[in-house]
Amino acid sequence: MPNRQDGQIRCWIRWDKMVDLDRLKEEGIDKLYSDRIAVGTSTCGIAAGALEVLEELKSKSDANIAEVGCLGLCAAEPLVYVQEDGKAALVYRDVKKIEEAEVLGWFYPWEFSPLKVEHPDLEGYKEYPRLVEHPFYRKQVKVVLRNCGIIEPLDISQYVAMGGYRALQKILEMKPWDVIEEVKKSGLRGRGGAGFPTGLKWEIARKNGGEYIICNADEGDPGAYMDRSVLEGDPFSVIEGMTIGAYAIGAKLGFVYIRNEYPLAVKRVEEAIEIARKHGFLGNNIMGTDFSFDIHVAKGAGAFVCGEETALIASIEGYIGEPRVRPPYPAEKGLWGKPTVINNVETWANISPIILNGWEFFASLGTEKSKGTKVFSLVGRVKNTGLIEVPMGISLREVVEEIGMAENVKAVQTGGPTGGCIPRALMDVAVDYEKLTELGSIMGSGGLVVMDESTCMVDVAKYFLEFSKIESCGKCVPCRLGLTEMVDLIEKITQGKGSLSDIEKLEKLADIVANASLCGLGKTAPNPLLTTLRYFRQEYEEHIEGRCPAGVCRALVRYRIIEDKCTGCGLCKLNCPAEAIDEVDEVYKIDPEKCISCGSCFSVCKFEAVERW
Amino acid sequence: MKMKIEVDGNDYEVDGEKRLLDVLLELGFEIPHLCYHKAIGSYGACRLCLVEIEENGWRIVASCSTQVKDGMKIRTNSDRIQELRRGVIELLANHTSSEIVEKLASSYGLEVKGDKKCVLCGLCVNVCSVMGVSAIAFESRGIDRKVNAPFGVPTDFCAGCLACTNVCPTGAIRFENGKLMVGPRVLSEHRFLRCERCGKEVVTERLYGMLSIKEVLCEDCKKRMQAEKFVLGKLY
Ligand SMILES: Cc1cc2nc3c(=O)[nH]c(=O)nc-3n(C[C@H](O)[C@H](O)[C@H](O)COP(=O)(O)O)c2cc1C
Ligand code: SF4
Ligand code: SF4
Ligand code: FES
Repeated sequence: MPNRQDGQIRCWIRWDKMVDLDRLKEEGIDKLYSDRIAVGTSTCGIAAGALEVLEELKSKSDANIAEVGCLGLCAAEPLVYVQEDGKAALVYRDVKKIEEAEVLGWFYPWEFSPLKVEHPDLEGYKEYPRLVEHPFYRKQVKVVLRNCGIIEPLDISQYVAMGGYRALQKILEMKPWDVIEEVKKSGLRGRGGAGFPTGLKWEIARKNGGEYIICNADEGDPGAYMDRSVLEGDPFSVIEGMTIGAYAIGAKLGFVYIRNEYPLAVKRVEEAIEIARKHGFLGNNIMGTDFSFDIHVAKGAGAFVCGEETALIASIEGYIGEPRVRPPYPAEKGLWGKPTVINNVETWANISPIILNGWEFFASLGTEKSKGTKVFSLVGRVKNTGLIEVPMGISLREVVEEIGMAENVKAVQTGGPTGGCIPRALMDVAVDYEKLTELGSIMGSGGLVVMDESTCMVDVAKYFLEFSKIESCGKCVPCRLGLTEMVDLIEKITQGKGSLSDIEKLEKLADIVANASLCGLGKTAPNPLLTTLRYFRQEYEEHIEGRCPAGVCRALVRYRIIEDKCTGCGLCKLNCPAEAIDEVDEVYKIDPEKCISCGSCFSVCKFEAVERW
Repeated sequence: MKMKIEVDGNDYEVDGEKRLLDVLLELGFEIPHLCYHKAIGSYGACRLCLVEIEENGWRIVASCSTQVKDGMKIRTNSDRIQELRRGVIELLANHTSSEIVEKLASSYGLEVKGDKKCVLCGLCVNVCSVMGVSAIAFESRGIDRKVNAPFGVPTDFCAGCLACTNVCPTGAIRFENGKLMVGPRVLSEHRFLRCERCGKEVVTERLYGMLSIKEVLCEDCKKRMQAEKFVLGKLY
């Protein structure tokens, strides 16, 4: 029994509210290892058709069917796995028709988690490969994604069976300062982008009299879906992390700020909060102690800038989502002017493993200054698109070429729309906050977009600049007007109307936007331009000379049909949206006046008779 | 509390607990600023008040949003600051046009090419909120951002106190024929109460509703009445 006189240690005062973790664990183990068929029905699975598979399974079989989160390999979805007869889980990939499904591999449900948990002995399969040996999973180390795709997201007993809420139980007997110390020593840095040391943030908030906790689940980067997958697949991991944070800084109330475009995540989190309350993990007298804390969901309208912490706070308060001047930082003056700790979804999900396994466990992963693991959504020109978690310090090349199995990579965009493009030649760089910054990019929140030779780097820079321009809140002059001028200039270049002095102007504007803007959006928005200029300057110059080497920028490419190769099949004519193709003497010809350079003919011709020039 | 600071190489002793911009202006430094007003506080939108301070190397900050600290070293006029300031002014000159922007632009030899007056400094919106009314606000994001009444419908919340037109540095927000306007947009419409004695327009209906005065009198008639009271002992 902890010592009441200490004042700081919690005291068990409500015996009726005490939670029997062991009973929950038994229940969870029963469910996790009973015979069942699991279907991955996160948003990514649903998009691939998981709900139809689920329907079909339900109509055809009376087996116990579980809906689980994302197992990671989105390229092979819908993913379905079967657990039966005391055997490990056997995963089927691309399940469109159940009879025709192909095996991906097998795994033990506990083997991805760093938490040591009780489990029955299951038998593996000899005839199939192990999932942990699959190139996609081989180099992954799962801490945040430990339960994703394994447990039923809203079954708290399965969460407990996988080691959940042990960390909360543990810290309720610790002094809040010791909890902060533990997080500090682990070296955990914020996963939302800037990489601020989490323990230090908590310490500042506690010193100022911490009042609120916020989980930043705004996730506005195009192509990024790490946070969504965690919330959909394992909401309790975030809720437990927030509860621990609240205990550490002395907060009574927390908010999860989710964009409304994530309806499933919103629903899961709302339900999970309700369930946690019912079980005594949230609300008054958590787990029977005198510690009380509750969480609300705040829905955002889906503006990228609302991911910025001060804009997010303004949005919760009901004001326009625009950034405020910092300092004061939220940890000093945050929500409603009170000290507030705001952390990213992934940051929160890291907390309970740190507490449970000790800071040494976490600090043993990663590099000197970047500890632990990082979740990425690997998209673009890769074979294995999906959600991955790798130790910090792994090289970008391993991630892209080994895990993603990408070929002919030209560049990798890290850090989302305001990150930078790293060329193939520099892909040996370690994934680490400082190393990526050295190359002109940022860690960001974890979007990784892989590009190959068919990508035009000027077009990429234009796309991201346009994104930032549209998403700029417009509050400060450099970002609002500077980005507008930059987009106009780069547009001119992609149309072949640019000149070398336009590149100079772009560089000058980039400097002003990056250094004079108020918030992180403006400060980082020029990164895609600056990195493509740094590594692919020649492509800009070629555009100025009137060529788009990748054949992407429409104003700079023309198509014509080579008479000798044309068989007269007419497929191109059928596919031309501009009716620019006609038959002349049994071969086809493109009318350059009508052609809109969309390239449809180029991609449909089976005889390589359409030429791009 | 007195603090020692160094600005552009010279030492000064100043009162602490103040904004850097205020301190620099009091010391006579010329720091352009569009979005800051002492009574409203800092907003940090125009980015003209940038200065460099030393904090593990020189760092660029907006002086309106920075507190002075003892021992602070400040550069208000370095090449770097001039470069950034000029860049921001050039952006303003390319997209807006008003007396104050023209003055700023001409000091850097820049030409004003914009047409709209409003620089979106936010002073009107913020002063309205300081007055406790919050009748007007910004609408839309990015380049489409503008000052407007909620939903673009002339608002009944505006009392017509005209704090906004008074703080506006560019004259973009104006009061014309009973209408509060920015550009072509009407933010609020007002009816006037007329002076009970001479019939001159005195106060907007809504402002009158918020005040504790009973009679509606223009300044002249008020003075005249006081005089009559005093001289003739006439009672009203
Ligand atoms: C334009 C902009 C967008 C951001 N979007 C997000 C986001 O979607 N999710 C997030 O967690 N952090 C985002 N951030 C970072 C947050 O401001 C903040 O640093 C972060 O939530 C702090 O949590 P952390 O310490 O756990 O990273 C964004 C920052 C900027 C400048
Ligand atoms: S940098 Fe851009 S997004 Fe940030 S406050 Fe300024 S205008 Fe808004
Ligand atoms: S109307 Fe005037 S005060 Fe209001 S934002 Fe525009 S320039 Fe500033
Ligand atoms: S006066 Fe400081 S940013 Fe406008």
